[in-house]
Amino acid sequence: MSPPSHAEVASLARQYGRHVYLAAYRVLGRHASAEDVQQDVFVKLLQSPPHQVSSWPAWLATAATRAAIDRLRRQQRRQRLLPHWAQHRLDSAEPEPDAHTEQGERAQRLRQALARLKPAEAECFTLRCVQGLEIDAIARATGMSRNHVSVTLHRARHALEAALAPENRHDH
Amino acid sequence: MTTDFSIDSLSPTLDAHVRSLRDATPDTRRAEDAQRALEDRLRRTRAPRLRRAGWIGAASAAVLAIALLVLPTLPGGGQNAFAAIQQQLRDFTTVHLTVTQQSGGMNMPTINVWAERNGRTRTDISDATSVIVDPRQHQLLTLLHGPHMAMQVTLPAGGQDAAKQADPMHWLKALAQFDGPVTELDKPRVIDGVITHGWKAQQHGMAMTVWADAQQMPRAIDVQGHGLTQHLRVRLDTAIPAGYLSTKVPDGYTAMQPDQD
Repeated sequence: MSPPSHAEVASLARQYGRHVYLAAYRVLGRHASAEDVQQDVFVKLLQSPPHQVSSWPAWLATAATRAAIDRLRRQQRRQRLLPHWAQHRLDSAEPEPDAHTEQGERAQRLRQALARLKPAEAECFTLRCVQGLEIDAIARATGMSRNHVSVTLHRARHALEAALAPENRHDH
Repeated sequence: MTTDFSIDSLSPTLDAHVRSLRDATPDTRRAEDAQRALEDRLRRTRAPRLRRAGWIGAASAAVLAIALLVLPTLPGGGQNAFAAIQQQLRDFTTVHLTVTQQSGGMNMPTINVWAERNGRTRTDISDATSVIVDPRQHQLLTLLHGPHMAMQVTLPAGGQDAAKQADPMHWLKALAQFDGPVTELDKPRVIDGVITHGWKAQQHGMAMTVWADAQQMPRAIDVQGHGLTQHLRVRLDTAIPAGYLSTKVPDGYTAMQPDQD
């Protein structure tokens, strides 16, 4: 299997662009950030095309999730470093659409907890529990062994259970 | 060996948090704006005039996309009724597939494929792009309906890979030859007023169900997995509109010349 040409990437973008956008939006909760990730995924696909892809939907969901988690971690780091008034200005630039609903608050708590996990743990957990990929598909898309994916998922679950326990929440 | 991770093992608290992320649905207008911006950006990064190989690539990619959709839907053999369904797929004269897809509740482009047994194929991706391939004549026509542009290409004698990829027999043969476990479903389903029975299979993490009528004529294929839901409506041996598989540039379209490599 040869790497996809420019035209093939454009065709994949037409087919699965919305799928990538949705995967990124779920992780980030912001339209502008999801759009950035969507473009990054396909531009990187042009620049560094993979040679072996068994399932494009799974590969693209993995690429989108990885890029979104990376962005989420950078956002969290930046928020920890910025003074409070600057954080507020950043947040108000594009507030999350449902930030003040119960569902929105829960989503935000999970995003913060995911950002504190190891990247591989956050990625595997998001792919399995949020994006709905099977363990075998995650293993193929990430290059990890099936057993490694399972171990990583167990670790992520334990870390998230602890972080989201009512007595341990770090709500802002 | 580690015990398989199960989503059912999440605590109610974590499960509620996960659901809040899984149910986060973007505004449709913003998502469509983003999709347009993505396609515009990819167009801008393309050379002003597409090289011939690029157009062939676009065509093969379009049909390859169909193969990607359909190949995972190949159910297993080993049962007489299912073997008869496979036989129907080997014996068709024409086939028309309508592929509707959803990702997390969002609609994705509908794809229509018309193909003849001799290999002539037309693939429409929504109402934006059509790719027509005639392997016997070594002709390929790509139509961009928005700007009314057309690119007619003679497939190179030594480079028939695109034509092979575009050949619907490629995946039909794969389907007919597939040998794996299938389960017949108990509950029938009515499709266009006809009672059909389902055969379910699992492959590459995709759950696939083929629905066929009493004559073992396949009527539909459902696919679920990797965050996608796909429904393929299958029509065998139906008439294809005259001229639909022609590789001549249609009236009203501007013919673009490929760059010479």
